[in-house]
Amino acid sequence: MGVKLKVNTYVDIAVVDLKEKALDASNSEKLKKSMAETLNDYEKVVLDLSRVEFVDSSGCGALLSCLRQLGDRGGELKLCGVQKNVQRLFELVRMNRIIDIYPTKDDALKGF
Amino acid sequence: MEQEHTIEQAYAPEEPRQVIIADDDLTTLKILERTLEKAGFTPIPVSSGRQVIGHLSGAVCAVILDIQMPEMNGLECLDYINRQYPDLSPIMLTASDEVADAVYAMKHGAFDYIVKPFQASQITALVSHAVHSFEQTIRLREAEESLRQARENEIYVASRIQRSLLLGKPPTDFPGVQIAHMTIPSQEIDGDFYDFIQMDSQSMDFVVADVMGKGIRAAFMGAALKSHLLRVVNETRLSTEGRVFIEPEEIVDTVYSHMIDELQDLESFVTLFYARFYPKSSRLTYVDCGHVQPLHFHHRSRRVSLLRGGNMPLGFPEKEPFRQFNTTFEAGDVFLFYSDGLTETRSRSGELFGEERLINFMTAHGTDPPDDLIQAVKAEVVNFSGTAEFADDFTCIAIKIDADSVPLELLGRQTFVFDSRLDELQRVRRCVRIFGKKYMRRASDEPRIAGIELAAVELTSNIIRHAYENQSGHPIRLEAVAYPREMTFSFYDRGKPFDPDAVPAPALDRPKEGGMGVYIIEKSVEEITYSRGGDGQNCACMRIRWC
Repeated sequence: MGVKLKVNTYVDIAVVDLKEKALDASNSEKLKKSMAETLNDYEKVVLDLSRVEFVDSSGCGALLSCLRQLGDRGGELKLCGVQKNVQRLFELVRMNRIIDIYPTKDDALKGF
Repeated sequence: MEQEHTIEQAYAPEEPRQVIIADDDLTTLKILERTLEKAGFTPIPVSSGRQVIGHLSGAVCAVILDIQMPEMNGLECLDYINRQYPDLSPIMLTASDEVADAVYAMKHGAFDYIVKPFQASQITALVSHAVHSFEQTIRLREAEESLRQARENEIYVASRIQRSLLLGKPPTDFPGVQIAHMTIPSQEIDGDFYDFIQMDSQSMDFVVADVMGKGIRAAFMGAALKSHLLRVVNETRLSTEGRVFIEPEEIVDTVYSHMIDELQDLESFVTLFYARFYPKSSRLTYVDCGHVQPLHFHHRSRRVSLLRGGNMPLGFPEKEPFRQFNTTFEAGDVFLFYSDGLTETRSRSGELFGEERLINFMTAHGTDPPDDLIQAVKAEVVNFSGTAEFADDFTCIAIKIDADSVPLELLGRQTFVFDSRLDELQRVRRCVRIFGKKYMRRASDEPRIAGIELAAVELTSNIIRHAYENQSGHPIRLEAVAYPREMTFSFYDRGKPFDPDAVPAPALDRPKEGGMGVYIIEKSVEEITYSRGGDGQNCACMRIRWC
């Protein structure tokens, strides 16, 4: 079983709504797999993390892996809806410097 | 010049070379006497072993001994000469039926033997040879002696430098700590040094260092390092009116820039550990530059952890900013600082004493008073090596936190057990959050609670993935303890031990997918210590402090 996620499309942009409360060592590998399957057809992707309360280092690793996969194909990944505790972790490991983070989904869509 | 003079005093080659000839057959004695006189020697003819002994002196450079003689025979006489004049090695005269005796004599220090009857030329050649060999031996021994004296002199000078300049005395009136220290200089002085610097009423600095190499050069380098260090400290004192503003990492960095040219010119390097104790707030700040890792005995858990730093020794070409680390301690905790001379002591069979043996010893004796502890460490090492003579300097300093300096009131304690499965991580988070919230109740504490949650998840997934290699069904025990403004979360497992030093620091300019966990833990809690008990149980203890 993969992670729960829902994909909506806005013209050529895929918005992935991650329906998990935590992104940690127990599901980070699954996220990588599900995202790889989902994202093959898109170059512009927004990952909505507004339901995610907790991310650990392996969660960060999975996000970086998605970023790299898309980047290899010339695509772009943006995040939105990042909760405070998760934002603090991203700053701690300096992820905020290499992934664009927007407050809301609309801001992210405008960012492309 | 001194050296030649010494040799001449002991043995004067320009004087006639005296050769004792001993035979009870007067005809043989006459022939020998005439032969040797012709060859330029000064023969001393005698007819018994006892007479030989009467004529032995420093001026005699060869002896010819007949084996069969009255009073004391040739072999007994040989034995005596061997013991009293080891540089002389007699030539034995034998009859043809005494060859077995001659062989015995050769085995027991005779120079050679001649079977009677003999030719005059044989005697001359052999005596010349024996005299030459004797003179060589004397010269060699004299040269060795003056070399040894020179070395002793150097050791004396170096040990004076070390005693008077390098080894400091602990402050006697600094409240909150008890200090015991000991240095046993080896036959060859190292550049070991340590010192205590009382910065202000709140903190005490302690530094221990080891200069590579031995002898005067190492001792001077140590003295230079120490003077740079004290200068940096004193200059700061003058400028800051009684309060310490310079952090240990800045002190080490400044000393480094003063010393690096000298160190590189001499191709030398220094390992160093700089520690600053704050007994009132139970904190220790330290910088480690490649020194042996000091031990921290935790009184409450009776466990030992290592103070890990990770900077390179001073003088290594790689220069990274010196990083300082913080740790906390409790009443009854003991820090043991030492030099590698201790752990690198070998047993008779060549086995190293090693860090692990010291850790086990400390685990068993950590509650001893500091003086007793370092005496016991010394006794243990002496017992292990079978000798009280050390090849390297042996330095050992124990600093114990007084029992009444840090009273801590226990507020709460709870134990949780998890299975080694990744889907337990959620429960780990919940347990840690609920426990933490009981004592950190303000809304502004939320980031701290989130940090503890994060560190706990990172620790638990490390245990599951590395200690238990992703095998479920193993227990992970979490013991959470709360004190006023302090909490500890100790995770116990029985899997493979974890070495945080083996994990490289993540490259934060380009975050990667792995290797961030250890870094995240270090950044999320005040202190993390990893230890392994004698029972094979690993313990990772994170400590949280807040105001």
